[in-house]
Amino acid sequence: MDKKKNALAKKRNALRRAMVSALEIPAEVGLDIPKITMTGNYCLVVENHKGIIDYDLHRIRIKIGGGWVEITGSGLMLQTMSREELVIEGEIKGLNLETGL
Amino acid sequence: MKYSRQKKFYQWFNGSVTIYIQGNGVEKFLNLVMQEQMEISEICWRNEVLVSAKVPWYSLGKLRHIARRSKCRFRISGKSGLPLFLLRMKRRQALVAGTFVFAVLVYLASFVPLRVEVESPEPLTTVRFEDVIALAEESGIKPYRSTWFMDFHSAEEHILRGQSALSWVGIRSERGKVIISVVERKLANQEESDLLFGNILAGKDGLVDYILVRRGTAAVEKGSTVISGQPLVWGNNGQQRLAADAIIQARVWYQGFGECSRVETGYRLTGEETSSFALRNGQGKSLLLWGKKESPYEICHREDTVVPLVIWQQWQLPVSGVITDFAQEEAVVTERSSDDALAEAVARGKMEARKKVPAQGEILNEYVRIISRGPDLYQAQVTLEVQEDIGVFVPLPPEDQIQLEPIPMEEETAGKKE
Repeated sequence: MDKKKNALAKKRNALRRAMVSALEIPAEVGLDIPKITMTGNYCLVVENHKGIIDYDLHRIRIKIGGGWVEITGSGLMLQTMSREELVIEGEIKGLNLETGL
Repeated sequence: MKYSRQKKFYQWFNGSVTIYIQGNGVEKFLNLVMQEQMEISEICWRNEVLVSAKVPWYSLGKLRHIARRSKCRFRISGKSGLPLFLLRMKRRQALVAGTFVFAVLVYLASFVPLRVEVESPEPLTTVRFEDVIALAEESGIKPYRSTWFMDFHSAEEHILRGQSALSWVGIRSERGKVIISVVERKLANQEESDLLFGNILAGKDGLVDYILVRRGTAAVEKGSTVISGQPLVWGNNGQQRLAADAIIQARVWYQGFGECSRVETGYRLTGEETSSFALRNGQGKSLLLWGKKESPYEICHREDTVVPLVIWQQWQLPVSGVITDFAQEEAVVTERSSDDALAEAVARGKMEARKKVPAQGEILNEYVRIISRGPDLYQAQVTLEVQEDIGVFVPLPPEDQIQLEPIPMEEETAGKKE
């Protein structure tokens, strides 16, 4: 049953991607997926996020569509936080992406 | 960076509050703030238990509900921004009034000069600075008196009347002082030629028409042809050295060449023009504020005007404004008849020759010689015959600037005979 559901979900995603590609819509808008931009190792911008799961001195975990992003480092600061984007500054040492897409 | 500056200005304009958040549900607190579409920024851990963040001051009321829901506590640690500053100033009206009065007093004080100075582009020989200052004081220009009560124009006239050796006086107020600029009159009898021994030489080639020797001995006579550098009047009278002085009028010829084609292509302005304004820093980098960077016209005349951006008196911004004017031009083809082309070539030749004629020169005759008569190109040479003073006083070298011993009578007579 689960296998059938997964297969169906995969087909649905493939169809969505094809439509987004055909209509030339930005993928992060059309597919509800995050857009992550990193400048060097000191600034990271996550657009289209779903909120913060975990935040401490050395780690920030952010919920995204179908998974989460984990940023590790030191002196991490959430420079700006809004529903559209999240700007993280500090010494970024690692980036871990866990997504079901 | 630009975005960040805009954001910071927006924060300052709206007023912001720094809060310390404490509790287990910091993430929930932040997510709820985000869901409420409230602005929150600069979130960071202060220590193991305390998170600091910046929020707009008007959203503090909503934050209390969010804190209760997320089981967190927060306290205000600092306030900044314009509205909060104005609120503080409202409570301290005496401070605001004092600052305003102080600013007004400083402004008024800038009109009171602390001293009066005299300056001159060259050292003064017959006029003393003290005399100029005394005359200025008589007409009300003195220290510790507001410039509002000073009449610079009448003071300038008063100083000029009092000191006839001055040719010009200008008074201006600048940085807490009044500066009187003076220029001393240069008297005619102080000319260089009167102070040094020397000869008069021909400045140009010509034919001497008239010669009047005031001092010295003539080396040429009326009708002589002279070349540039030839002595005209010697600086001695047979007995002693002196500064030669004479009027030597001679005929000098100037030539000009002109040419004109029957079909000529030129450019003229159409009247269409546009401008742009940009800021430019010391390194030459420009930031276009309005208008177009490049000319919208195919053929155009471009002119850049640099405007220093001054805020107040000598306070100047580190960038300057550049106004660029683009004026559209169009190609114009002029076709002339053979007579018109010839006349134009002659006119151009005349113009070129006239440019060489000195201001005091008198044109006696003009001669036109046609060099080429087409069919397409016409060329003409114009010669102007001009009468002018060609004498140039040349002082003797410094080692010869000493008076000679008087010459014995016999030798003098012999010299005259020669």
